[in-house]
Amino acid sequence: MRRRPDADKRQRVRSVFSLPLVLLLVAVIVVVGSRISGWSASTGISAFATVFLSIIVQATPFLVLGVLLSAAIVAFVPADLAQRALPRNRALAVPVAGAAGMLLPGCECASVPVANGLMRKGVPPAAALTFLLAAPAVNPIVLASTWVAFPNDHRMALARLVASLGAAMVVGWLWVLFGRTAWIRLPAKTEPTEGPRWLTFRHGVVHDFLHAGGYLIVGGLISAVINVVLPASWVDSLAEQVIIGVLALALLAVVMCICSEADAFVAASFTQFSPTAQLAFMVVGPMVDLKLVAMQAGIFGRDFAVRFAPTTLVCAIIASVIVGSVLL
Amino acid sequence: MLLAAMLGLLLRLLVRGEYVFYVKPSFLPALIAAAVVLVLMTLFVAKDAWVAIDEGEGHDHGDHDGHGHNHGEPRAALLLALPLIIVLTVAPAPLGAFSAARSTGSPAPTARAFAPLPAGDPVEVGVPDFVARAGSEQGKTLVGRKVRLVGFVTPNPAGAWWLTRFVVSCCAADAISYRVLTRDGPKLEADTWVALTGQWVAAAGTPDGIPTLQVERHTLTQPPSNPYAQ
Repeated sequence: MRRRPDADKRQRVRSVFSLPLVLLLVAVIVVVGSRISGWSASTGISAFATVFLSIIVQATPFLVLGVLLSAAIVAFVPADLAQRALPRNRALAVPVAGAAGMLLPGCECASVPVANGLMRKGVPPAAALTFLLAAPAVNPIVLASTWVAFPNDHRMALARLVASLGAAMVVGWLWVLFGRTAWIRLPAKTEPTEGPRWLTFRHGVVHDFLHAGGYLIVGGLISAVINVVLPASWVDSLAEQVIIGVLALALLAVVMCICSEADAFVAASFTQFSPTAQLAFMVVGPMVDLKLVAMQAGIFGRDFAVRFAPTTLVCAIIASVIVGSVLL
Repeated sequence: MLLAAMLGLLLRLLVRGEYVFYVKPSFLPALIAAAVVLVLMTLFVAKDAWVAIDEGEGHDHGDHDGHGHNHGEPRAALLLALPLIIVLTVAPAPLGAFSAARSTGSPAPTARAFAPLPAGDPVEVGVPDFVARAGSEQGKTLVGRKVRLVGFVTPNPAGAWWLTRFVVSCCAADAISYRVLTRDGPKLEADTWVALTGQWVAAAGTPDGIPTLQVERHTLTQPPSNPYAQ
């Protein structure tokens, strides 16, 4: 997207004076890093740093992929393609978007910027949001890893597919009924006529990465602090009661910020919990976790995030309980 | 410049091989690709900036930029410098005894049948494999075999320490710990890497999915290049 010329200038000036300094710093780090980082205050701080950095390092390639896709959609895809590809009826567009989500094998970090790009291209928010929820939750890689993680009960992968898709579509339909576009703060509308598309693409990538990346850090930070201050073993005592167990693992999924392709293995390790609670962990995690909510707040605005995240959480838990009690 | 901070983080972790503390080694191509994109993005931003300076308009930014904060680097983007700062101030390290002692859950028991261990006396076995074999079919593939296990020390407030290994399926945030309770092992500090030779104690069973190893010999070892087991 094009920025205003004066704002552009300001950023250019800042970048010019700080860039060589940072590059110099990077060179110094790489060469003599071991001497700088010779101390480590305590194992608790070290564990915090490891969890925090692993969330960030793991998310970065997917975030980069997401912003590239998003910027490409905005810059290169013809404006009317999305409208032609989706059913005109917004309620019908929701299941189509959910099915489309199954085809994108990406982590949730990629789907936030992509949904943003879709909305800016004119895709109805209800459909884009269903896609946002469904893409990380039910893509083939996630289902395959769930299949492997629960070798004794292959119904778990099916239950995950049904519950996740169901929750994503219900949230989409709720948006059709009650959602207001005013809650979503989209970055300034793109005008394809202004400037070459290549420039639009480039600026879009940098802008989206800085926005989503900054908030990703916030989410990762909170998650890592909780990981060290309140270890996951606190949920162990809650495993006995079914309903409390479901809520405990759903909450843990929000806090842990695990990639959707790996969470089935963690869910399988909660052996003392009911299968429905394990299902809730896997349905909630890819749809609502701290890093996702933070990125949604960064990209779509806080007004959106405070409504969308709790609604999704409730839908995901209810879908897990219903599907779990029928299938598992 | 904040792009460069993220780039610096990736380069540092890639050049020094420390990325394996955080993600699976198979993430390497994805991390390199992300670093390449970040290099290009940084170069484009820098080029735009130099062009602006050349055109002599670079310093004129004081008066009419009321909406600048919406379009330049957002304030939250300043946080992108944080990972680099943390790598610089806290020595990068894999998850260790602190996290293992506080982790929950025990690995899901697998009902599958295991092939017999390969030949060897002792035979090299991964800690997760050892735990799974002990929990399957009354541990019959371990009976009568001398094994060699490599892991780190997690102190146990209630007795002998655990030989521990984390398994990571994507990144360290999803790590699951596998433990073996040691019997008659040496006194060792937390997080010490050690190779233990010994035999599975069938009579001790696997309470909470944790088997027991009768230690016969120990050798201190270097941490393996990938601290997490596959």
